Amino acid sequence: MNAAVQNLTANTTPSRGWRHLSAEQVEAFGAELEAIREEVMNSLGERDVKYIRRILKTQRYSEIAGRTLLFAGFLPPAWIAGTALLSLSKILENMEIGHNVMHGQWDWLKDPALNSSTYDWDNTCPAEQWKHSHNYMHHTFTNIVGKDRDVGYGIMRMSDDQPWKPQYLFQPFYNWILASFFQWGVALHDVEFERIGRGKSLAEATTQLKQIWKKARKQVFKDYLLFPALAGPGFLFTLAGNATANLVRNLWSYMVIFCGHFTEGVEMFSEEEVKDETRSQWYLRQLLGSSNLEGGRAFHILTGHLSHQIEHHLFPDMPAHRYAEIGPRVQAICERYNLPYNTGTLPRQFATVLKRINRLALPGRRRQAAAA
Amino acid sequence: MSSVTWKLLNNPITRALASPLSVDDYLSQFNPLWSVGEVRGRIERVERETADAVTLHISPNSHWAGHVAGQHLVLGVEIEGVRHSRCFSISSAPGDTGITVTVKRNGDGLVSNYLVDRAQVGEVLFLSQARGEFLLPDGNAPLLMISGGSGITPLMAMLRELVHQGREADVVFLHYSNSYADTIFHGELRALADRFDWLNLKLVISNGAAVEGDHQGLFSAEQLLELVPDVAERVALLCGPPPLMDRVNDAFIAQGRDKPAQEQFQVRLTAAAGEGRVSFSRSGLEAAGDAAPNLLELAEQQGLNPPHGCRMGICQGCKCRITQGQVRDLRNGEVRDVQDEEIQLCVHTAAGAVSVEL
Repeated sequence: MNAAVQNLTANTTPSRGWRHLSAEQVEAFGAELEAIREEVMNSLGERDVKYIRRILKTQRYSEIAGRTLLFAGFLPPAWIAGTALLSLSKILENMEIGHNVMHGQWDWLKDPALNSSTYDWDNTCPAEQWKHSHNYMHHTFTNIVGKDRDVGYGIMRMSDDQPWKPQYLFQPFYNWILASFFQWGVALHDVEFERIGRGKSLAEATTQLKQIWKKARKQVFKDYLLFPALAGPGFLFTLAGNATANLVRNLWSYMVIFCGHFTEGVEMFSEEEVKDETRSQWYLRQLLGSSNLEGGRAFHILTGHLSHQIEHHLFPDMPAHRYAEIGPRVQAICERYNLPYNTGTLPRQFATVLKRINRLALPGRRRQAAAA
Repeated sequence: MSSVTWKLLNNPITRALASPLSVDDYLSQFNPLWSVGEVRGRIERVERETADAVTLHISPNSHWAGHVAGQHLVLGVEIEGVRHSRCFSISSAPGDTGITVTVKRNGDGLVSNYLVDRAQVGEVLFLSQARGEFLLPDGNAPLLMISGGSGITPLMAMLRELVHQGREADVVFLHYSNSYADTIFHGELRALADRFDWLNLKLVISNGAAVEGDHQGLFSAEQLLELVPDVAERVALLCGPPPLMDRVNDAFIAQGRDKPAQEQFQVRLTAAAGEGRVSFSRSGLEAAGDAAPNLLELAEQQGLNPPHGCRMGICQGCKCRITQGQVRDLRNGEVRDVQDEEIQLCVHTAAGAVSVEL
């Protein structure tokens, strides 16, 4: 945040970095973003196709190579290389391919293998439920406490607008359990256990759980039984390699995703605040509720370009590799409107996430409710 | 690779290994022709027929189940990485090596222009199996084949098939074309007519002078009687642009006969606007029925991507279940109630509240 914004916000309300904008300015801000979107979407073509085909090839080849090497997993170098390649493949498949394909970023190719309505990813979360909890709930109601289930996944207190409960005292600890089993957390978070009996029927939740198990058991069967069994005497080596690859992918995706919305300075919203929101106000909320990660090209690809969380939230159906190109333009627009553009390196941003988790484990509000 | 290889590669074990992706997702990385079940074909040769038409010689992979003369297929081609699908009649006979598809430039049509100007040897095409009911009639009745422009393609396949079979069927082949330069298969038609007594070729040219033995003008009932005096004794087969098909059908009806067996390759649709609300039950989206010319485009407007092919009511690629509702068939303007029925989204519009399973 630059000094000008800090001054402005300090003069108005300390908790929000946008109240210095008039309604007209907000609309103008939205129009500028809309223009970028229009320009990029109209320029999609062969370059983008080449990119995603290369990613697909890299992912498939690294998976095949990784799983093959794990058959020789009794040799330590083969186990390490195999596990590393399989981890890479799982990260690419979940982040840069699965997540982005299911957003419809590649629907315009009309390739049935990259279609958002039919694609299913190598994750325990069924594609259908993901598209509801993520594409719809999270992207529409981003950072709205009580609506966006990514705010704490129903088990953590990530905003001081969430009332404190004693269980949150343990969140600095079970945060790491969520991180390690992140794909299971993602799979289960649309079930909304805490709403069962309060607006959600047990039958509905049971149906969802059955769908999740139907999906998840395929990965369990493949990674923990079938491939290990094919390895014969190397059963345990393959099993350990596959489990490690799933763990690496879990930790990585957890870290990237938590850095997207829970870093320092990211805003949370209440349902009241977003009533009758215009498209431009929605853009503004997406900007204020997201934060970026800095890094090189390979880093961005491994995050599925969620390192450009701001751009992703502004334009969720734009092919993600374009975010890096428009990032500087989005940042320039933010500077002109004196709006924060939250970005930093992974260690720095993640440190602020951990700070938030630790702080909110304790009762009380992080800041005074000055806006009230 | 042979069909045995595909069977070995497609079983519960390989599918579980690839899950949740498909076996094809991996195979296609090695060779775009490889698939455990889908028909794909490689362009082996591009033969120029006229300034505006080419014949693509395609070798399909082993999933191709063959075709019957007169049938068509849905052909998918990647243009700048984006897949486009259209219907084309197969112009080769079943006995030929590989299959051929003959494509004529269709105005500004993206796919036809691409295939005519830019299709390359080695390119991989995504094919459907052959389909269609426009076939040679059984029995030995004398035939009358009437075609116009690129509508000649399914009839050419039939003619070639008759030659293959050595069936000396009595055929009058009546073909309408803008000019000689525009006549697809011109040389081959002449050669066949010279070689076989049973084939009586009647070429009618609309622009420029006709050479001796050919004719000039457009189709008319009088011209038909003049060129084919025994028309009443012949089983007629028809394929051509809509204006020609209309005139031929009218002439047959005026003579108190049934319309010829026919294949439309351009469909004329009524432009009736949709009415009512359309709800897409799986995605939970809703739209006004008049927001797009047909249900397929309406769904696409909502950001849905239903599978589709020809977009003109032929290939059945966009068939989708309607839970309940009232729809209008744009081919004949008829409105009907449907319940738990699959319809082609591209040639239907809403005529009331409709619930589409998308």
